[in-house]
Amino acid sequence: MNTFFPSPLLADAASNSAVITFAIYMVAVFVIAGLANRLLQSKKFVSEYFLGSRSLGMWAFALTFAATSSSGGSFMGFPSIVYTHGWIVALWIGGYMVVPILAMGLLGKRINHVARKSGAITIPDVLRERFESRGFATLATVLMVFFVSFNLIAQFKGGSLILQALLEDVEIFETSRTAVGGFIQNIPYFGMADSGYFVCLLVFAVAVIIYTTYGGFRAVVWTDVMQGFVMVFGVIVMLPLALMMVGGLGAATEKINQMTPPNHVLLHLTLEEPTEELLSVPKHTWLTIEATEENPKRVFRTTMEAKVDAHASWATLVKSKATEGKFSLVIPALEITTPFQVEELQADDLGVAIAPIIVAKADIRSRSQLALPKAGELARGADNQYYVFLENTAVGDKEYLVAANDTGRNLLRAIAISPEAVAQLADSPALETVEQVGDLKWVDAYDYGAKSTTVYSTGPGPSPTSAVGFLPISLAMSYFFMWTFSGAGQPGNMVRLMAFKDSRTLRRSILTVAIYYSLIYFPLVIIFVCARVILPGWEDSSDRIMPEMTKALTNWAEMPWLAGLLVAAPFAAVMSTMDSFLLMISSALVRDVYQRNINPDASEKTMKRLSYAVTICIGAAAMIAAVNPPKFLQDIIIFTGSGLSTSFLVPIGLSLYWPRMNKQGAVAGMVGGFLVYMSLFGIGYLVHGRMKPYEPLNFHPFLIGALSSLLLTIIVTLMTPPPPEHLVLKYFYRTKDGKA
Amino acid sequence: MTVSNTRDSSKYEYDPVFLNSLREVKFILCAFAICLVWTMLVCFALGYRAAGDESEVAVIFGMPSWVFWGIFCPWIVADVITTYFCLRVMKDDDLGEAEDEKSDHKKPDHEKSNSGEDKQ
Repeated sequence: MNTFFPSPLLADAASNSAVITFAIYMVAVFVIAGLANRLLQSKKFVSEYFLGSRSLGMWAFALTFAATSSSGGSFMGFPSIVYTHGWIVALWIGGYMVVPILAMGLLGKRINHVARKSGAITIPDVLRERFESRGFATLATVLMVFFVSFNLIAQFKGGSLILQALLEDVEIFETSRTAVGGFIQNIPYFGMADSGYFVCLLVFAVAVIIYTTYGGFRAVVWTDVMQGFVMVFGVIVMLPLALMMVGGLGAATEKINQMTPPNHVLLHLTLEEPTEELLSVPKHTWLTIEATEENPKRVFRTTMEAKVDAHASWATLVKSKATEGKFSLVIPALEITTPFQVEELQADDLGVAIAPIIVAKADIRSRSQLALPKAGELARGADNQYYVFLENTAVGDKEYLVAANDTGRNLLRAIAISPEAVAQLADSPALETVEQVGDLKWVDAYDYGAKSTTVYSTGPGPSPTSAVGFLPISLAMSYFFMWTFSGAGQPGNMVRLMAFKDSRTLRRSILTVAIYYSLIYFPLVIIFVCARVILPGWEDSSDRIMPEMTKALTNWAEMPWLAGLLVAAPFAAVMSTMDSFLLMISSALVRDVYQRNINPDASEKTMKRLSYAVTICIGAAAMIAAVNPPKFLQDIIIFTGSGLSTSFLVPIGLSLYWPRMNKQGAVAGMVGGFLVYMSLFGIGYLVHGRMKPYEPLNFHPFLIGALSSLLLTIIVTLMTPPPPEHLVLKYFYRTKDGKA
Repeated sequence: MTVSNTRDSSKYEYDPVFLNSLREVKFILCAFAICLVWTMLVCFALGYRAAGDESEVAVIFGMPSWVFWGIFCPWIVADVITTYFCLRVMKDDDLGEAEDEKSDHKKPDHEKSNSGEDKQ
């Protein structure tokens, strides 16, 4: 058994404290929303609701900027990446050392100045006033709503998954889950969702929608401040605990130097003694094949739940989403390959002896040109042994043909094919086909770094899917650019830059955010490098490594009550991003579409009602979409985040610093950047079959898109007439008597 | 980006907020370039290996030496530069008063004069 596996008693205590923490946290959020709403009554509605009346002080501005940038990705996706790839992720995230000065300093003062001069409240507002173009502003609104909507759905999913991890094993949650599951199972669309996930989504979404709608921008900012403190507190507490538990940073690096990436295998489980009852083998069960004179000990961790039939000891039944609800005869697992961990790890005690047998597999996709045998067909292999083809099965995003048995055991006996049946099949086409298959794989190793020690502490880092490793140096450079300039180009960040009250606030806030990020990102790398050593075998569910590490640390320190506080950190990160995005879409529709284009003379009362209604509707729509969300959470977050920056950074940046820039150049830059970016993702989808961009020379699409946008903006601007004189005077000059 | 003043210089001058911002941008881009070059060169030289190279990894303060020299040190330097920028380089400019702050009913200039179509 894993020595760090939490005992049920401690796990219960952690769960209870998590629920209490969550409850306190939500009460605090609603109190803040109530206070913000009181303030809202005494100010001009639209300016206050969407921009906090441009009066944010240092703490509010710094922490809302930092918390909005640190989405669920920072506390779920990022730890997962560190865990999977090791120390090289320090370079991957290295660009954050200059994010505060660049993302806030590059545009901050100018965009705030221009927004005040023009009376702009949203980013499309700024563009409309700067270029006197309603059409351009509408284009910006459409692009913004397009990207942010996708991101909002992904964030809803992220938040719900965190909440689910937080509440797992809590009695009231399990009761609700059962009740809601029964209620929704026959409702089309909703019935397809996991009932636990659906409950969490409902609770999470309703909470965020209510406090955002009720309190507006001010509530979002104030909750961001609280969430910002929660996040940094979580990291500061986890760092020393992780270091103490692992025996110091030097010990962690020494151990990680010895680690080799795990293999993905398919197991066939058998009961050594048949039992009277169906045996459940939970997901993440440790299994071992003990050492013999010929073979060393092998350790596996299952990645799906399995059930072993009571009366047929050979059978293994698995039901999971990966096999689309069908029962499968094999179960995917990770095989730990690091020698010191193989020695330490023991099989979980399930009350009966289970023998894992490794099943060979061949990747169907690379062999599509062959006429492969179908599941259930019997055939003879090159070694003259008879094999049965069990099934086609999907594991992750790969599809495998499960081909044969074993490590010395004979599955043919278990499947009870009679000699007569074998004889009947002797002349079948399947017999010829199987001989073509030839090189069946017993394990699926990492494409880069398999069997290599030191791969977790050097570049380019191990990768299960890329033959050039996780982070080739050109990609590292791309990410350095992307984090910094992408941060500057986010409309969500730009809106905050329009909301601080004066230059002094900006100066102090940049410094605060620099310290804040230094306390968050580098320590997170250290914490989850330690997690690699402390918690082996989580590669298949590495998105859960944050809550799992939290549980492990607090149990080790015998402070399970702390788990609730620490798990609140990623939850806060998701919430602080979601509420901002929700308000951003709402402001785009209410301010940029309705007030600017449909009813410029809308009364304060109308705007108020409409703002509330639109915020609720957008939130509800995103929640419904998130019931069955797209699969790749982190991919969507990166796609939308860098897509927004590719479209907005250059047009906004140059419009603030280049007096010669005109509307035509701005439109060309925005549309060009968007199209180049989308094309690279489109090509990538065709090449990879999933949401992965095409990266020429390993450069990220953001870099190529932003560069295209820059060139197009400059060329088109210079080829077209200069902007109207009064606009240049308004935004770049002042009269000598000091008037704007 | 260079600025050339072609307007009536007896009547207009560049807005100091614009000029100060431009000067600050140049400083920021230099800081970015320094950190980028430092990080990439050091990490590539000390941290990258050919596939299968399992030679010993040098360690400083418990972390691989390339992380210490290539990430940790420039991160500290970036924080020092940021501090210097905030305390010494960035000016406290008057950003003015927003139009919506002046009057509840006053609208932006563009709305007052625009009938709904693009002007340009």
